[in-house]
Amino acid sequence: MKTEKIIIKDITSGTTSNIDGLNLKIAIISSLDRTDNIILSFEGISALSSSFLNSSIGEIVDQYGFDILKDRIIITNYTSSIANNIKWYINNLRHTEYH
Amino acid sequence: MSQDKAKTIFVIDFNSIESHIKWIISNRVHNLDRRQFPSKLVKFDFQRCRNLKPYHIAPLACLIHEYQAKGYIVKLINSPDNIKAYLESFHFNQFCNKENINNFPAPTDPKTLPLWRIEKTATSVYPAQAQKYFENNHFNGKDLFALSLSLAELMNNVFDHSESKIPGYTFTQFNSSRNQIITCVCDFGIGIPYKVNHYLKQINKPTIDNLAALIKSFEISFSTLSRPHNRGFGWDNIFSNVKALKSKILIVSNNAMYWILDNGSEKTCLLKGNFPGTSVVIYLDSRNLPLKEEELTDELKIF
Repeated sequence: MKTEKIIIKDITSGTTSNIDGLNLKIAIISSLDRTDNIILSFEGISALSSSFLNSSIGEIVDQYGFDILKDRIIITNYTSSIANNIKWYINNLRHTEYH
Repeated sequence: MSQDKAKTIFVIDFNSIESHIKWIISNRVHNLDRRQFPSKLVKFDFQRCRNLKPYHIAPLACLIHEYQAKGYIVKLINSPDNIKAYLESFHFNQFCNKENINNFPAPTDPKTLPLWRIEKTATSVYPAQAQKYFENNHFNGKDLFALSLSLAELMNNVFDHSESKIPGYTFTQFNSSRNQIITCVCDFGIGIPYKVNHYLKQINKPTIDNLAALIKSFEISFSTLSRPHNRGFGWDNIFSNVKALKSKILIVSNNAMYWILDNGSEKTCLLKGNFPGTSVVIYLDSRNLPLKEEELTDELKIF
């Protein structure tokens, strides 16, 4: 199994705007083509805005579905606030889907 | 009227939101009687001020920006010593001289962060800077992610939804005697209730009163879809943080007002005046800030 690590602070200047999120989305998509699993490192990051998450995780889910998060993406170097923020976001996404 | 035929605007540190709105509307550039005040100079007189707060400064900056955008020269006059020192502490004069607003020297009083013009290119910078600034100067070991996150959400809202002809402004200050970090984000755009009703009309739904429209904008996943990436999660992100820190938030937009108080209760009200855009004030209780968190290095599934 091939795994690639994306260190978010190395690919975007922040984690608050849509542009920042778009940079992450591009990095994830290009990594998904090359590798089986992706580790997202949130090293040095303390807050994520919904705009950032919309343009990164949200668009990845739109494009690939929730299974991609379950099967191929994990996180590391995270604070519990960051983990809670991402879980809160994914939960909101799931609740706004058709059942 | 002064001999130079310039308009003098008396700046007042209002406690009443209604009076503040009335003052803003009557002093906007398009309400200036140009026959009475033909000069391209406008004076802001501070003699009636005693204690300005971020929720006075950010709308004042929008007001001044409107004059500057129409070619007016802005002069600050009659500031009492304490107000003069306060304005100088974050280089407010430089803003009025139209100098590069987002490139000011560090404030002389570490309790204030310079006024910030909300520009698309700089949205990533300010929230993180504000967080670091207050963590380093006042809250060593504490985590201020709630401040940076709220600022990021609010600044993104200004871009995505306000449709303001001039940039919005934000200003943040720490009040040590009240243990509050007060931040205000203000724009002179179309306002949230107007925007919501405009969207409802577009999708052939009945319009609702302004208070209901403001509250509708807070619903999770409600979005006027100003931009394709909007999903309507931003307000929930802000409110969760404010509530977790037992803090307060005030939103005034058009004639609708919404409060979340530090006990978590909500208060709403229809105002007589119509705020020309949106002003959001967050009062973070600094006693409730969490400790800086350790980064966990294990690998975690997020779903």
